[in-house]
Amino acid sequence: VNATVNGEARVLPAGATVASVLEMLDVAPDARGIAVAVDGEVVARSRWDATSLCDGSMVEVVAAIGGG
Amino acid sequence: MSADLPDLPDPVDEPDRLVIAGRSFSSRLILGTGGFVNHDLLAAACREARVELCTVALRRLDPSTPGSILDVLDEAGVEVLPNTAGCFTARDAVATARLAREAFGTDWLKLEVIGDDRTLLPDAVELVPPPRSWSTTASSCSPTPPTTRCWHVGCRTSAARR
Repeated sequence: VNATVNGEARVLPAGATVASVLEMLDVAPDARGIAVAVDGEVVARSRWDATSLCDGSMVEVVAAIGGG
Repeated sequence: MSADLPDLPDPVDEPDRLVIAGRSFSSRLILGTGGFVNHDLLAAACREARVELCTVALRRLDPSTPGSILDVLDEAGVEVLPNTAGCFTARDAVATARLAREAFGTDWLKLEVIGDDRTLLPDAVELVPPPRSWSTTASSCSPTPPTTRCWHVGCRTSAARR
């Protein structure tokens, strides 16, 4: 699966999900202050396991930081 | 829509408290969390200033960043007010707001759209459209749009629009 994760091209294994991308990024499933969007749509945490990625998927993983 | 608004505390009973959307604060100081060199300093500032509400931002995940700012603020007993810092357009701000709602588990939002990344002054024109965007996409951004609090910062920027 050829996807883009936070602006970087990534080759993911077949069947990759949002949850597996987060595992690849060392984000624990219960990590706080994390949100994910795929192709511009927010994916709720409860759907991370069930949301599969496909060629061309644009994945954004954001985290809470100090700012503003 | 007014039927959906929460009951507010009687201002006569609590004349000196800041009440926002049914929640009450004894401090009117809302602290930004940018610029602190580490989490310990942020925690100390919250403690010393007796802050009850802090703004927080979202950025692309940086796996090298240790710890979560949310743990620090929790420990300090501070509630979080997500912002849309760094957004230049209403569209970006709405997208960021949706992510913030998921990341922080709150429907509170400090809406920010800047017109210039040097002065960080707000872009008043871009700050107008979001409420319309909220209502047109209400099913995906908020099940009950009236509970989404948009704080408008109204100030004309002298910087040229992009």
